[in-house]
Amino acid sequence: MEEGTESEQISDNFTCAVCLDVLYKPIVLVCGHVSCFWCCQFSMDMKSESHCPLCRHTYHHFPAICQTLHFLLKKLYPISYKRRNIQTREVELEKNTLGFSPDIDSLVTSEESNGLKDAGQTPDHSFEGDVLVDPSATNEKKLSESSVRACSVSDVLCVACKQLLFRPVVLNCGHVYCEACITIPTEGTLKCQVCECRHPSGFPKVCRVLDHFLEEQFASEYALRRSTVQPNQEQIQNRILPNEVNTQVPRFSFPTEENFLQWWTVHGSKFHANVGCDVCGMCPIIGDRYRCKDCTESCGYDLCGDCYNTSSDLPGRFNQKHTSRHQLELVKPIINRNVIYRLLRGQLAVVSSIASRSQSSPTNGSLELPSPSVDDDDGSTELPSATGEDQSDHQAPI
Amino acid sequence: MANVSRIHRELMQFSKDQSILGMSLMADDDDVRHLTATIPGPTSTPYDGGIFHLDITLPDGYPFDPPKMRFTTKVWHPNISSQTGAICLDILKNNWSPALNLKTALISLQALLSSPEPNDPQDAVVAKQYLGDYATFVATARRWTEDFAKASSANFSGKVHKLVEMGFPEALVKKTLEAVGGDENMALERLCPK
Repeated sequence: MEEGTESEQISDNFTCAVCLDVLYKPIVLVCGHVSCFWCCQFSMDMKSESHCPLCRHTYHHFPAICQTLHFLLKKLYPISYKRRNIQTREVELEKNTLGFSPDIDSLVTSEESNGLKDAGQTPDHSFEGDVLVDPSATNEKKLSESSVRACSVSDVLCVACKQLLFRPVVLNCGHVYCEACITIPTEGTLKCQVCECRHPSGFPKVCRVLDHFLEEQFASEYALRRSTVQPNQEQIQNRILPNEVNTQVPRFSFPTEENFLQWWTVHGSKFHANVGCDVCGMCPIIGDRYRCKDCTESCGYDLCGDCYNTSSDLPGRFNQKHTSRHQLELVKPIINRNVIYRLLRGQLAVVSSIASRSQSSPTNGSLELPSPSVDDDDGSTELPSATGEDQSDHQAPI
Repeated sequence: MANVSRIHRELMQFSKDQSILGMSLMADDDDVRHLTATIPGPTSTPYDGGIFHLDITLPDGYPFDPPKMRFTTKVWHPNISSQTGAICLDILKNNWSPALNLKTALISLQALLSSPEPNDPQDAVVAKQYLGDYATFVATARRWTEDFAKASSANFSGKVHKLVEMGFPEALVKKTLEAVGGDENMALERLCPK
């Protein structure tokens, strides 16, 4: 529908691997890979840890949109970006239970004017020919060139050192830093210097997509940055490594087939499947969950315990109209039939895996089970359910 | 609803690589979520020289849910059901990622043909034979490739001839034989009015 009508040739760098379209409202995961807001959201596992679609790196926090990248893409590909804006809006209206992606453009009031001169920009011809321009069509060429010009070094500055980003990394809040500009506290969590938001996901990896773009687009400035940063690079590496442990928040354990029962007994009362925190993006919420009583959006507004305690005025992840005057209440996990069914299914998996492993390795100690229909004894379990019947033949003797 | 524009983009990308891969991928005219594909049997395997047909259905959740793929050509392989063509491959199940696509899935299937995983079988009979009597496995797999995956071989025209002699029109016979992956009995079943 859109091909051929658009003159913009999207660089492979800025093509979302999930929808294969230009990245729209980009989310940068801690592994440095980028996808669209909704592509990332739909790829997430709402009941367990999520995995990066590209490298399968596990993560537990849905990052906020990277605004630097958002405005850069908007300048580079104004036509495609506009189209995606309209299309996404249509889809969001259609499935309105999902909520809306944040309206960044209206949030940012002091956006840099588009008429910035390309001060100090050196056009790289190989880049233009390779990525942005269809050489056969001169009209289109002009258009693409003008869009390239529209972006300047001032669009891609580090929020800390205010220079051209060098080896950019993106925090959970969406702010972009040079890798070298991140300071790791000796204790406690890494926090964004701009918005004070915690970065709970460990030290971020360089966002290669943005890095390649900077290296191609601003070749001379980038080389200059490299020469000034490089001598310090070794120090930085040394500084990061011993402290890296500190940036890792104690990871929550997630259920696997083997440990589902133990896991559930410990964490079951704190496990809020399908609910994410609207500030730090933790999804599913593990621990306390606070729900807004005044937000009327169907997707609701929820906070995890930590974000509830550090009051924040950030808008919701799905454009909810939440304000600090709203009342929040502590809610318990919803244990419904689905959860119990999942429990039983997990149980069956445990039974069969134990059975197949023979009696030689009795795995778990005695457990307390949440479901009254389940009995446990020395790691082998018996189920009264019909589905349990066929499994019971293989059970390890009690 | 499945992301139709992504499917179109995938098909466009696929058509660029088609000649290098030696594979084909075609969407139904009326429903882009139902596709058929062919992959060549990898060289120096019992499947060498065969062309394997697949039936692909994209679920509503695609690309967040994996595509449903099934061999329509009969294959003798531990991870492919000899009866239904169902495939046991992790990336088509739990290990699917939305960044994968039909092209990568088809390439993975070709790789699966080269390196079977008999310890995680789809077809227990084939897997048992693979582990217990490898020589017979290779011979059977090769014979099945000859019989079912080589539509243009002499064997195929022999079958066409046989069925035409039974009184069916040649064009229909060829079409039906191709649709069932060259299985003479299945073709006959389909040709016979119910």
